[in-house]
Amino acid sequence: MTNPDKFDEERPTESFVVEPDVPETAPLVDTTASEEQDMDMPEPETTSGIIAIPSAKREKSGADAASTQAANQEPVLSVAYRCLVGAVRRRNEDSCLVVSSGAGGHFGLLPFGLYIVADGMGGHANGHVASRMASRVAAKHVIDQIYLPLLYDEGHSNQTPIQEVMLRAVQNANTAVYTADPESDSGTTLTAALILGRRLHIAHVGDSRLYLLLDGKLEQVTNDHSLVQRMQDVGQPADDETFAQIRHVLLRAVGQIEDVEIDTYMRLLPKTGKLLLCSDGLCGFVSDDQMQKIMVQDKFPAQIADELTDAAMAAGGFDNITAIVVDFAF
Amino acid sequence: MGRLTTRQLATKRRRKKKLTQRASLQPGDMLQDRYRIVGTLGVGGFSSVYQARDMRFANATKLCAIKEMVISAPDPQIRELTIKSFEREASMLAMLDHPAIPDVSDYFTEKDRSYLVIDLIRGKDLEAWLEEQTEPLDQETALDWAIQLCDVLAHLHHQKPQPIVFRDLKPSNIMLDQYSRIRIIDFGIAKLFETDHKGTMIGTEGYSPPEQYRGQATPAGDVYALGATFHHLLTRQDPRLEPPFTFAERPINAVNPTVTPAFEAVIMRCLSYDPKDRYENAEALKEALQIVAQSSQPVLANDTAVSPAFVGVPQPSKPGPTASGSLDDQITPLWTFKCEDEIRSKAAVTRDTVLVGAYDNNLYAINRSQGEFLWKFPASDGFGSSPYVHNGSVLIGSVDKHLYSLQLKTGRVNWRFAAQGPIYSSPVVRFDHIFFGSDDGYLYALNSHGRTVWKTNAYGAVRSTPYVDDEQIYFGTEGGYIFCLELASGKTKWQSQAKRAVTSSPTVVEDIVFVGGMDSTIYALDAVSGYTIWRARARRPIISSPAVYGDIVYIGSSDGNLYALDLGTGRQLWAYETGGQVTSSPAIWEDSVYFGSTDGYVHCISARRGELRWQYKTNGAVISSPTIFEGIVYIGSTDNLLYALPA
Repeated sequence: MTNPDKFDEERPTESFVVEPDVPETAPLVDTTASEEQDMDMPEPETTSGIIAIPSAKREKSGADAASTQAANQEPVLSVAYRCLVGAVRRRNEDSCLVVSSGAGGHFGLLPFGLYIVADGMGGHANGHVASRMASRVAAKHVIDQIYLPLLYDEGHSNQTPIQEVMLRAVQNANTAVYTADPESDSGTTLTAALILGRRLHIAHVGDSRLYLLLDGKLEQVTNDHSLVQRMQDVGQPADDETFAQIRHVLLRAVGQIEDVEIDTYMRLLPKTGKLLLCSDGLCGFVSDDQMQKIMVQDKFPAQIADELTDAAMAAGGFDNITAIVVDFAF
Repeated sequence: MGRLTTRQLATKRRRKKKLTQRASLQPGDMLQDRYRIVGTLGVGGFSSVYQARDMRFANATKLCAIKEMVISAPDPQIRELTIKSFEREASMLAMLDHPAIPDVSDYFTEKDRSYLVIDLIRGKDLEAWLEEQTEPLDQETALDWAIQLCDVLAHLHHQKPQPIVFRDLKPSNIMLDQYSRIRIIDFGIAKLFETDHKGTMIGTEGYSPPEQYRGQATPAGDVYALGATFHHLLTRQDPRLEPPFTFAERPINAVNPTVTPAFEAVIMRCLSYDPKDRYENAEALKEALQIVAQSSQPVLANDTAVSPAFVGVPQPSKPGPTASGSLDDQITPLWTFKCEDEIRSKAAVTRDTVLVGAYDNNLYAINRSQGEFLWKFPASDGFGSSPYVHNGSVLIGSVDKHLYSLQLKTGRVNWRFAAQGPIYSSPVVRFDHIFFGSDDGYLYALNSHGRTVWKTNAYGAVRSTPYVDDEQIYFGTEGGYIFCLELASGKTKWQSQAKRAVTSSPTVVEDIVFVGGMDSTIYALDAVSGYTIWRARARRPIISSPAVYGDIVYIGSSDGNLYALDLGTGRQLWAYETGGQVTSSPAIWEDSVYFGSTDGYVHCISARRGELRWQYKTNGAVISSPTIFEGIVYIGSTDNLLYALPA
């Protein structure tokens, strides 16, 4: 408990002080801090006593990890990506960017993984430029602000909150695309996911998606900023014909106005699981059920990424197809 | 992929674009050997409007407006279809006879363009009008215009054999003529020329109803567009810059106080998502508007009372001590207990006993059911920290620098431990060990006999109460650090710096450490690494300690608010304002949040929305934090009383 009376130090103390009523039968033990302090000169910060943590507690905290991997194994982030033009389009306007880092040994680096999907738009010329620029600019900011300080071992007592770094990364991407050509319609979706330690941080604009595979269930984490989603939200879902017509209409995109509204998400990841980041060339044509069937398989991320993009091609490959599959174990 | 967003263009860019787009016809050009172009009135993506002189009247200057539409479809069959439907609609428009609808005098197709010749209306459209104004439209004018528009729309909706649907009602299609009468100038006819290949938006202009995206054009769609138009005129909030179908999130009266609830209800009913919930057609809407116009009183007309869209409008509520006299009376204390001085700390409660320290230097033990005095234990200075009951003993730290272990039944001393400074941090027991901080700058770990097992120098007074889990200990210091120590050894695992003292006590949920700072900031730190995940700012320092319930973090600030923040992002969900400072730490019980304020009240608000449930007035500032046990709130006040209130 915090007590505000701590700030009331000028408050006069009571003049009448009653000594503790110490019963004869109960031995009064009177220990002091100073005697301990004298004994501990070699180690000024901490006295050397050790509290034994009951073994039951220790086992419990490691129990779920033990089922999937040895308790002391290093965390693993294994990743594969595919970024295809599809069967119909002439150019690939999707971009994806993957940065993964691992380190072993005592006091190794925190697991770090940065995964970005961007789906460019703007028809005429610059969709691919926008998506490439946005993912590069966003990645650069996250690496500057989070990854490089990790390498320099700068500690983090004055560190910018991760959420603010992620927001700034996407805002920078927005500014870069917007100022490159404010008059053009070009823009891009941008879904950036950062795994730092066991935590997942997401910044997101547009209708690319991030899914989390948890206990065999594929859960969509991000919300689409699309007209299709909006119509669904207001209880007037688009039928198939309308869907085909308005599938491409976004409500927000990176690079189209000076300040873009960005969604952020944060969650603690389970001990094991998988992530999927994808453009709508995958999730717009392959059902969540089908993607879940592929994702639950005990296969390498590369195999899963292939099967996902194969499914999108089988559905016609009408759009560019991007998938990043991350298999994690902590 | 090629596509656009609906809200990507700020109005500034729209205007800029319009100017940069070139009209295909220049002054002097002739059409059909009859119409000489005089100037350009407007240029859009698929159509342009020109001012032209009709040369049939050689001796008089008869001016007209000519709307030009580009046939963009490359497929010859589709081109032919487009021209056919254009001609059909043009003939239909030519038959309309209403003073607010400009007369169509001619139509024709030349090369890849179709043209419609109409009366030239002098005046300005409402989009231009909006740009000139600085104040929102007043209700009286709005009603006048809306009724005029309903009159035109009703005329269209009554056409036989099929009603004509305007399809594209919006400020730029409504003219205010030179006599301040309303005229409508552009029919959805232009839409015939808009192809729907990928990358093109169709009618995603912010004024269109949801069903229009499905290609449904009904009179109820015009009713929606009229509602959208007036929402824009009355609020000056451009729906093209907002997500579609979000009018209900922007109550009109909040920005335009001239608008009565009755008028707002009519407009919000127009804006219902489901066409069935709107007025069926313009005539029904006109009747509702006339009722509003006739009643000078701001009462809800029967007709307008129920609208699903309107029901969803969040009603701004202003809970506060002044607004809720009756809520004060609901609560009667089960008992009160009088100490000899102020109570500023939190009580500890067991099944039979309530324990609370007071500034009269006594720790009181009180019978829980009746509030009767059991025993008191005097220290040589005040009690600012809260007691902790463990294994039949009561642990409590005092400003007299001692941590006492007392027998719960009698208050007799088992042992006492002397720190080097006053103890404001409350003891916590884990694995039979006691953890607490002191103003001497150390965090102590004692065994159950009061012997130091380890202590760690935190280089600053520790007034924060440690949060202890199975392996770590988290606490703040007056030096402005948040520490994480290994429970077993007391070794520092990480430390994170705030800008000022951290007196608030951390709480840890989902491996996130939440704590407030005197720098007015609430921090969310990763419990494993100490990385800051997010921070949120209040207006004044934070002494209160956070409580977490579901996905919400609750914390008080000396700016007077109890804040509810989203656990994952720190986004403020709501703030509940009190008349004083909230240094008290919130406690949660069955969907309600309880806390005190220096306004003298104990507040009970709903955990989800922050709506006032009840408040109870004490006779002094409530700095103490509530403890809730079996539906009873135990809380002290600086009026020297400890209250037992039914939750």
